[in-house]
Amino acid sequence: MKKNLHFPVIIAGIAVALVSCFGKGGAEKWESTSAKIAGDNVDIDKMPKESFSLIAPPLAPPPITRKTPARVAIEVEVRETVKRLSDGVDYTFWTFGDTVPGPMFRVREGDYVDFTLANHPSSKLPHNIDLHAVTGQGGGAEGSFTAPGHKSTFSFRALNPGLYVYHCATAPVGMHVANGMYGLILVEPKEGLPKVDREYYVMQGEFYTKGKFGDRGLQSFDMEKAIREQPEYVVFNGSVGAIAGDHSLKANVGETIRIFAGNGGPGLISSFHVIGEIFDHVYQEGGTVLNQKNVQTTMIPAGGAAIVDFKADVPGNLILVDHSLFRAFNKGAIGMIKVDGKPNPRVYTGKTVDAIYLPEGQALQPLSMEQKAAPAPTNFTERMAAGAIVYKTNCAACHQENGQGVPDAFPPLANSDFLMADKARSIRVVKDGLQGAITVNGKTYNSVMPGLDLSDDDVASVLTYVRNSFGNKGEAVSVDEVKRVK
Amino acid sequence: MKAAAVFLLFVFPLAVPAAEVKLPKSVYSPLFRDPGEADSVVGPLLVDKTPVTNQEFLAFVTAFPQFSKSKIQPLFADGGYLAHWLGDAAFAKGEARFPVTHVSWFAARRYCESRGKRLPTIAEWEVASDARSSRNEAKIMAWYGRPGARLRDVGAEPANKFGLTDAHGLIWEWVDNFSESIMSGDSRGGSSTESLFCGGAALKAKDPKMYATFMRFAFRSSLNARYTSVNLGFRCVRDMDGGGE
Repeated sequence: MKKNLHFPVIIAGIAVALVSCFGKGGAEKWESTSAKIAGDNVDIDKMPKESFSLIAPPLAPPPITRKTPARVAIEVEVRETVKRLSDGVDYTFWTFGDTVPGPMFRVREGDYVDFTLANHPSSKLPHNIDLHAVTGQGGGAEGSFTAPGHKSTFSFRALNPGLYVYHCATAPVGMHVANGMYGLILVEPKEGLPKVDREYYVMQGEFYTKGKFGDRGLQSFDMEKAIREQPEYVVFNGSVGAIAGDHSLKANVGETIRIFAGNGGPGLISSFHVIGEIFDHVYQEGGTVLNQKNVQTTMIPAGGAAIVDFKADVPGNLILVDHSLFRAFNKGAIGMIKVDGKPNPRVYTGKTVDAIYLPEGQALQPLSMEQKAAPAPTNFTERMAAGAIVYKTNCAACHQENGQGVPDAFPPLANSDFLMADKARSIRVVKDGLQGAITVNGKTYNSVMPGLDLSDDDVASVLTYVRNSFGNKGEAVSVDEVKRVK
Repeated sequence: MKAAAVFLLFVFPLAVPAAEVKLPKSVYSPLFRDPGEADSVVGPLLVDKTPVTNQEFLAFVTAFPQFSKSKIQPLFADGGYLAHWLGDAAFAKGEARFPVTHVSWFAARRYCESRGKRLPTIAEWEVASDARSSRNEAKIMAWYGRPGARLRDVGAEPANKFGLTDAHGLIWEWVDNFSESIMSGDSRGGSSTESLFCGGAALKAKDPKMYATFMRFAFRSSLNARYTSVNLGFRCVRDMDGGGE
């Protein structure tokens, strides 16, 4: 009887476990936001109309502020044109909007887009556009196939939010893309993206030239190199240095920066990395789920994109690279963001130590080469010189080269009442360190200074130095005085 | 603009026959083919040695004013028809022997008819132009790399193995069945552009490395019989009665 009572309980338990695994009543219903938009029967004729203003890279079009869908007209011109690929090197680019990449388009989830492609009369070839954001034949390739001197219009509904690549899809497609025919279109999710201070548009692509990297003159497309996927150039925004040097992207310390990063390819996968920063947020592959935080390098497939953002915490030059490093070093995949503003040593100090490194194993060296310890200082001048070196090596990282310290973190030594008041105390602090609240020049600091493993001679030198630098004036500290403080 | 630069031609020698070269009976093996589609035989044929020039076309529009710049019906040509001409019977000085461009398929076809000729088919043009030789492939590829390059007199470059000149690297040329560019004429269903985009183009191609050929076929399939282009001209062919190999 007891047994019989247990069975139903066990079975019920299994049933509960199954339900929790597979949801209520079995498999969940397949759902998608795109299908809802596709089936919403919106009256296209009643949608408010607007026309999209093209803006050249590296600028991204501004965020969309309206809260409802609109009917958006986008028109872009295709042109075959000679432009600079690198210094002294020209290339016949095939372009959307006369730039590589083409202008970034920005619409909102649910918008109805009337897209017009105009092929300049001077073009030798027909062109078209495949927008990866389009649900429909060829992503619009069929509807936009356009002979030179003509234009075509097709319309589509932006069903899926995300960041998408667009490119020319006329045979031979790889060649059209390799000549620069790509760009990005952002379909903003209904709720928008988190507000940031700056947005930039960067797109990687590679070029297959007949001549080697740097060979001067007008270079033509090399089909064999393209098929082998061995480009001479791998660049951001269409040319070597397009977003470096004088053309660097700009930001200020404290600003948040979003990069709409795409990869036109046509062949290579990008290991997109910003030297000196860490992506705070990454929308991998340009999707709408914030699926990574704190990322060093994000992979961007050919014909794919990613949305990354970070805050510029300290000044400096942030270097954009494809971390497949020979592409950066030898093929041009380098960009730059110049961040201006005040340094913040609590985040980053810059070089604070520039010292001679003497590894162990010196005994292996011939005796004549053996390093001898520097002779102990014999007078005040030598003491000060030795102290300056000890200071730079051990103290300046926190107290700063000029002894001013860092507000709220590291107390100043310059004109410091705390330092000068008690010689024995200062010796003890240098030898043993200091922890807890102290008041220096009327301000409270509550921090930790580690004990420094210095020789008595170095302690004497550095204290003599700080007591006679940065506006301080005091007597020298002798080795004997240091020895007496236990 | 400058009157001095305008070359007016009031009298023209209608009877001067264009130089022709003979294309012997040849086999055309399509780059793109439908399943089961076989090689075809073209020729023998007499092919214009050079593309039709501005001067030759002027003779035509004078004889057939309905094909002049001002009188052409929109049904037969788009707004770019003879756009580079300075009027109904005038083009820039020095361009008399340039290939005529900005002409529609209707106009090109009528021109050939008026000479007792016709436009070549894709197969005829492809064979006669020796398009598949690697030298010509390279020439075409180089041509794309020079956007906006100016035209020049026809016949300025060495002739190909059949005696034709200017088939590559100067202009595109109309062919009679341009609209069958990708699929063969009897293709069952599907639009002619279906296999032209992205990977589709390579699926049916015998050799996916014939980039210049892809471009030429892509160009043809982008056309409509009314269209005109700065880089698009034509030449005519004539059947040889009773063979004559």
